[in-house]
Amino acid sequence: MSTSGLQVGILKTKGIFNSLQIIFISLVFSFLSLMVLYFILLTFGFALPVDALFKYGVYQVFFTQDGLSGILFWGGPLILTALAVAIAFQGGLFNIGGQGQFIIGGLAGAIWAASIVPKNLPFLNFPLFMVPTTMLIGAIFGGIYGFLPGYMRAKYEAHEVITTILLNILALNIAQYLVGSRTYSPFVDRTKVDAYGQTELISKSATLSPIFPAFSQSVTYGLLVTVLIAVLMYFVLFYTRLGFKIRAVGLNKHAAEANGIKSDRITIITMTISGALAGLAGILLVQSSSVPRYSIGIEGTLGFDGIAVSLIGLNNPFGIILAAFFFGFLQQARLNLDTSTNIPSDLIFVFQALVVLFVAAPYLSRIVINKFQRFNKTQIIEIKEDST
Amino acid sequence: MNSTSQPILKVTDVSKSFGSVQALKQVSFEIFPGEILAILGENGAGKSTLMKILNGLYRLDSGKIEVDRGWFSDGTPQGLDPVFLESPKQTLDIGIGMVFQHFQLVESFTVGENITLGYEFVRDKSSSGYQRILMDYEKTNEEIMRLSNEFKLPVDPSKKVEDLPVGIKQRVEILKQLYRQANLLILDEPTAVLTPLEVDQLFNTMASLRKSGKSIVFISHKLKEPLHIADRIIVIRKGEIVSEVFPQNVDESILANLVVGRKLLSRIHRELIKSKKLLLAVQSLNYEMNDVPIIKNLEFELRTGEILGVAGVEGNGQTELSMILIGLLKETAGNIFYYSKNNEVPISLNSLSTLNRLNSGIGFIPEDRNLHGLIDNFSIAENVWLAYHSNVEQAHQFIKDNENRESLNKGYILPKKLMEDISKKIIKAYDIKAPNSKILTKNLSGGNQQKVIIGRELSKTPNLVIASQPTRGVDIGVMEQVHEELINLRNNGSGVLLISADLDEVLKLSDRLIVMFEGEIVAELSREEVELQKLSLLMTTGKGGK
Repeated sequence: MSTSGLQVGILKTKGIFNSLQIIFISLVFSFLSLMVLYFILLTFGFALPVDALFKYGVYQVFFTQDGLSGILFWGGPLILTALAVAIAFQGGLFNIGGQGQFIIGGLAGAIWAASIVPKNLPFLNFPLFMVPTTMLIGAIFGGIYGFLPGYMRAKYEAHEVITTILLNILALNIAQYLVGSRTYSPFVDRTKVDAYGQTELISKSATLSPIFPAFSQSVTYGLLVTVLIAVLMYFVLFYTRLGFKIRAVGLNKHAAEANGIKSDRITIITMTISGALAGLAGILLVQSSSVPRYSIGIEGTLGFDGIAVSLIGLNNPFGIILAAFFFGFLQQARLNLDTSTNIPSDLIFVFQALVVLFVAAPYLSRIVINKFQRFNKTQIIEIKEDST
Repeated sequence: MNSTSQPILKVTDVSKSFGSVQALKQVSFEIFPGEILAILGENGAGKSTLMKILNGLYRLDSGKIEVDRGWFSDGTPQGLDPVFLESPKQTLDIGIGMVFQHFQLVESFTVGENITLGYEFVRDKSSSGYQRILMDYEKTNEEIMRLSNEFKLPVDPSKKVEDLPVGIKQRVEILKQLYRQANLLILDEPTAVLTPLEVDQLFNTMASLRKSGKSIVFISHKLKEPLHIADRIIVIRKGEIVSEVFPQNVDESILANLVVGRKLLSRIHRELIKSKKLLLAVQSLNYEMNDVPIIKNLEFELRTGEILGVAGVEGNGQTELSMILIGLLKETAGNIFYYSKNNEVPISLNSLSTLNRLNSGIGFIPEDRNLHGLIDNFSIAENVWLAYHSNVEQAHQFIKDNENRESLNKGYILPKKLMEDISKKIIKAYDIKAPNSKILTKNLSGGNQQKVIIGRELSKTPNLVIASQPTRGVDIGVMEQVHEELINLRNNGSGVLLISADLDEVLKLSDRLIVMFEGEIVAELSREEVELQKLSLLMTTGKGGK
């Protein structure tokens, strides 16, 4: 049984309308974090320039085109990595291998679209084929990379937290081998001196075009795919038999088994889907990028940040969309503050960390949710009488 | 009890509600020194709530509680003082000790460590150096032996708790409260987990505690026990005290009517079934766990229209037997044959998955409803659907709704309407107290949870039901209903394997009886040849048969 899954289980919610809760939580925790940050600075003798903070950190993010496109740009990939974490949570698993699955997905898709098709199958090199197959390859390889820890968990009881961490390191090294070196890496552009550390540019027919060309950050149709996937995941989780089984195994494996659900199989399926989502995040980032190629380090901490986003989004796909954009907002605010003020941008990281810390304390969240419900005048019907 | 003495604890007009449900309505009663007061009521009547208020776990909405601090500290009554009970620690300080149904013991600690936990003996200051921080086990053992002799509760302080039988664990729990100088003990359903012999021992203990001046509150939903041991019985129903009686003035049937609030008509009608066909045959079944044999060479048969009772003290292989039959555990050796409906040729269950077993007409009522039965964080509808998730056709049959049948829906998409209809039907048929089918089952009382499981399993009109402790922790009303359903099933030609630690239940329902002891069947008895004395002996020692 995954302890972390149980921990977080308290926060599992369902339903579109709970999204309101998430906004509420984010606001409350942001405020709390800001307060803490304020006092941290105060103890070191600095005062937070509140005026500048709101002007560059809030106003310029929400009310300029640059700011808005930044929110979408930074938030988009997080939706998928967070969904990967969320579906695993729903299935009682803690997938911290998003990082590795992201790398493998991005790498495989990029190699497909940069080397394999253009060089070997040039007649297939047209957008209608390339765009979906590249995504698919990314998702499939990410899925395989999620299947491995799922299989090890189901068949050999190897805990997915351990195996996914190890697989993250392995993924980095696979990337290093495939594109890291000029001498032995098979997929680098050897004609260029400084081309190692990245694949060749993927074929133009596999790239995704911007939705709003006027935006400074390129927000592509990948975002649309992402949101569709989030909606699909919501549907799968709460309206299909597969989702029913995933949630059943996640909440009580023993009862699920006693009612004929093969929990091992579900564990493997859950991890595979989870990996596929993270892999898709990887390849979409490659396809959307203005210099479309996989380069080492492109993943940043997107895989890990997905955990935090999933937590704030209460493991609910709709909540995750909101939470991911909240993180996108923080990122954009950080960049704005960095260029326009003398507030150290590291403080935004501290701020982000504080928000996650608050959310990670389930009791705290529950208090806030209860307050929200009272505020929302929805009565929780409690019919617990006597539990002997 | 002597009526002239002053009460040591007085509860006046205590009310408590959860959301829109009022769990307690203006409850008032008194406890006197040196008496055993039984609080009797169905599950959901408010017993536990009351008890948790007395223990400081819940705070009351209105009313007051007064205690006689003088009596609690040194036994001399000083009159009542109002108190606000806010935490278990505080009630303990006053001198109220609580023994929960689920023991609060550290299994891997010794008896001595468990009893003194939180108030340990440490070597005194005269010890040198590091020894000062060491536990003083000699003194611990000495103190426990003293207590153990004083109250005639023999225990071995150096034994580990995990090695002890349930009855002794309970004794440790009681000693722990006495060690903490509790003068009023609250026992929550203390007999639920005990064998008949252990129950007798517990009652001796309670009597000797009473003799030494302690007061005891004894919470129960069984009728016999309070009649046997209590000085006074308070009957609580739907959060209100409906009557206060003295055991010498009432009998079981009067008490039953008070508890349930209506006349209990035992509608059990055991039809005579002539043509009995073989349904389940278990042949030389063995099960080992880590090379330790748990089940040894089990052989039995179950026929249609028959309830086969499996009696025995818990932990003698019954749990494993039920898990093997449903496919959650894999037998080490042996064969299990099952004749499904309209099928002359038996199928071997050994190689079938749990799902296939369930779909071939076997219903399973697991022993632990919160582990194997229900998913607490699922709604009633979702929990009911657990039984139908891969058998949508059967769900339609149950609801007999051929018009609105979503014919294209093979179950890949959850048929929400169907799920709701089924659960509504079950909620109605079993009178489950829930406002709607979307309520999470963790918010239901134990009895209602059990009704969800039983309703769900029986709604599939199973051919064979494996019922493990089907009425554990449920009240008399629910118990009657479950018994009726099981008998109906039998009358309609299905077979029931009834595994129960409740001897009364096994005797009442079974057509035939096998007794399990240490993984073996030590006796097989027909309904007519059962003698209580002999059965009790068989269950506890494995001997005494023919």
